Amino acid sequence: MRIFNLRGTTFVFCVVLFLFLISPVIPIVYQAFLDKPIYDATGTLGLGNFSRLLRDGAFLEATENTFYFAALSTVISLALGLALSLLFERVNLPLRKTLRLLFLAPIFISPLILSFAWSMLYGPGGYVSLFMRANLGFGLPNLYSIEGMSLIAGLSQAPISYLFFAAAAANIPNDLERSARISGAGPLRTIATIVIPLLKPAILSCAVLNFMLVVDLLAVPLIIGEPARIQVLATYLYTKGLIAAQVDYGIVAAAAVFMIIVVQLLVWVQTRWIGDTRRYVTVGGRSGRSARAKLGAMGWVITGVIGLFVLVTSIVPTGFLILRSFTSLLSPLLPIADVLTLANYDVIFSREQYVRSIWNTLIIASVGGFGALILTFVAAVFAYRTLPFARTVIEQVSVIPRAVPGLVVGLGFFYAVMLMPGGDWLRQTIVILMIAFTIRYFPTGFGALTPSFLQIGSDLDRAVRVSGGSRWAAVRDVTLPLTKTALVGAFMLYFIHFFKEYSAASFLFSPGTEVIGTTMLQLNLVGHLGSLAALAVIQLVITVPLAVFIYSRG
Amino acid sequence: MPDMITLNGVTKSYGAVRVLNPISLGIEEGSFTGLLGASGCGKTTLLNLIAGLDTPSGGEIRIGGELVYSDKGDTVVPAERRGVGYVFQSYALWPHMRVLDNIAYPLKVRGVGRSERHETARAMLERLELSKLADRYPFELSGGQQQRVAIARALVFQPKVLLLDEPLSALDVQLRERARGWLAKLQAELKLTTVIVTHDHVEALSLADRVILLREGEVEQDGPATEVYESPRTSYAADFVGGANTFAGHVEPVMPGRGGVRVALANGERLELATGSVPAGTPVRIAIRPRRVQLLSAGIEARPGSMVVPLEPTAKLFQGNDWEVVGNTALGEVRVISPSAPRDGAIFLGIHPDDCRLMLS
Repeated sequence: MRIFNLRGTTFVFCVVLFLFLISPVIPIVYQAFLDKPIYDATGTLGLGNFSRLLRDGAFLEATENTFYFAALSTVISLALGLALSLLFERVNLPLRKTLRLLFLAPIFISPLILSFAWSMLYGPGGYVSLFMRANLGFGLPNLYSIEGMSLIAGLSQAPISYLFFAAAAANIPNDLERSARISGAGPLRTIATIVIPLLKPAILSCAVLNFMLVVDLLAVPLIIGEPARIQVLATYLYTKGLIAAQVDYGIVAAAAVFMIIVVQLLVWVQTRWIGDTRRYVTVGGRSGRSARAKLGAMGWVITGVIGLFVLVTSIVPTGFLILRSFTSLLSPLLPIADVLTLANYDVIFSREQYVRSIWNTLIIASVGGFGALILTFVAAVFAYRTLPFARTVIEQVSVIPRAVPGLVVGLGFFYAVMLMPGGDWLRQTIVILMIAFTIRYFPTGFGALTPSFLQIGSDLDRAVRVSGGSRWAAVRDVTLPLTKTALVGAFMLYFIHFFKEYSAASFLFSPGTEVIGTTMLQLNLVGHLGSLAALAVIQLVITVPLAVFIYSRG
Repeated sequence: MPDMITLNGVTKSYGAVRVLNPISLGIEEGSFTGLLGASGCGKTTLLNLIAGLDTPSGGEIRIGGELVYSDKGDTVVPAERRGVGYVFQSYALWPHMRVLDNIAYPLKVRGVGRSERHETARAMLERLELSKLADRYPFELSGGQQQRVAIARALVFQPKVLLLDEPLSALDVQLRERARGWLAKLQAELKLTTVIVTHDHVEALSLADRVILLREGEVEQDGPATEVYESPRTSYAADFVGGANTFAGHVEPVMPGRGGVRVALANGERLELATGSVPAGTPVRIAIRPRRVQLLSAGIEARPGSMVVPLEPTAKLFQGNDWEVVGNTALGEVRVISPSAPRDGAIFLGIHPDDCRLMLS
């Protein structure tokens, strides 16, 4: 009678998904223990790479720098995120919605673009530094330092911390705060004694998340750190594995394994913390929106401070980047009217490879994003609409890529296609980038879809079955229409992330498969800052409206 | 009447946890059966096993004579081909479909053409007095209306069996009483084999002609509703179905030739029950419904033949029509429901042997 073996199909899907998501890691681990390059069949296994790695001074220094850089960035991101989540969610600030959206801007301006903009504006040779030196006699503190790197990384990460805390704070039932108020505590005291203590677990897991993201961050160290010869693990991997004339496969793979272990440890710490958070879980009580305190004139002062902050950190740099794209050179020493030009855009649109990188990016973001969406939907259906074991397995499997830095995904895939039959063909098409990006952002997309699956009770699905509809009918007639909004949201997330992605791409692109991110890195390398700015503006024009649409809904 | 549903040694375990011990029973065609039990007793699991929403760990299930599950030979007919109507506790109306589309859906998946299925769905709506709601969306309906739409959807394809999972629990008290009457009338009209899962004994007793009481995955008692209420077999059944006071005691020998049972109770008194035969020395419990205990305060006399015990009241609660009095006696704690208010002064209880039931503890 059994026409369709559900258990078997589900099991096979879980295995395939696991292999797919772990695929970049396998060749790296293999290469790490291999004394010859992975394509050389004569290699033997051993620990040689690791002992060489540990004797490499550059690696040790990069490790040390990474920890300092990640720790400092995390502190900046957490402090900003926490402060602004309390201000935005608990205080009735004037212009709150606009400010909030502007504060979120670094999410949609990629760290790559932000780093370019900052270096052009606040770097040692940047516009503001030159202007101050010419008019005031002193410049800005050197941006090209670990502290400078941390500042940019912290700023670009702060919106993530903010969203994290805002979500956590929204889960605190209103009644807990109201009972503190009735007990006689003022609004500030309530925040200090009730809200923040309840946010403690969120603060700790958000710290781990930030740390991981910074370890994975390539743009900032590459743009800001490299000129000052400050290397972190990400740039160590990038230069040793990609830029160097003679790539040392073994040592690069060993370093990548080391990075995976570091991130894995952090994930472990985080899950342990989340396990402990149950004692903070508030029992009962409706979690209605808390009333926001009104501050009168003080509110305007705070709004002004936040406005100034947003202006200096993201609006002015972005505006400067746009201006830069329309000029041949931008310096306080030259009047702007003399340098205005469309030449930068001409360069972009007249060179085949630049135009191609824009098209490739668009195709990868839309077609690849759609493919990723289908995989995500299927995974969610298996996880939440089949058997209990599938949910446990798929939820665990889906987060694997989170523990693999983006660069490592690129590197691993680079190795994998060397071994794969047909890998050469794959390497020459953008399909390889679509696959790598899908792996990299699968946890994000899956996470965006999950809540809506959990929200639609499985009764709605079971009601189809008892009405006479098959499993497929249940998915088609109920699950799909009801998750439509979440699907659109997940697609837009994929689109934006695929559009911005550069680190996984940097190992995988080849002539013909450039994307905007890799082209920007190359333009930076050869110093064509005008064209770089023009390309950045093109990326912003395409992604920002979408991102504003997603994040303005709150 | 032949059985419409037959369970033969059906069990269910989740991992190492067994939620249903082997259960065998038949449900007669056209009958109305109540599956009653506390939460976690396995009653909804049993319903889901019949519907095919969950797979048993062993045994055999037949619906209308057709084998739909068997642990031998791997027979599992999926839910969509069992032809059972099911009403979920949450109603599970699809929020993105109009009422008419919700009801027409089972016909749609059966390949019925658009105009025909809408006609049938409309006829069903009319029958359940829902015609005006056809074009509304579920969120625009009241709880009572949602419940009826859910029932309409379950009935529209003329199922062999109707399964109801706590269908009234989401309604408020007044609405629940009305819906109960409506449901009883509907079932009587349709003569459709119906199984209702509930934790409310009033619901089970008033709707169903047969009540199956489940406890921790086992059938505690199974019989006509009146029998389950009047003659509970265990003190759990007595307490769960309607509430009962139980007193421990042991059986004493009776004079030869005299029938009945004589039970010695904790307060030293003896109660003689007219029926039953239990060997002397057996530990037993005596059960009596709170409503059958007579509340005696100044001026009220006990029924002749009653045992009278003094009560130390701990709570007197006015319930609208009745008074509930709780207190301690030499027999243990006793709950009484009385139409008359307890007066001031000493309170006694009258317990008549005819109102008492004997159970082996």
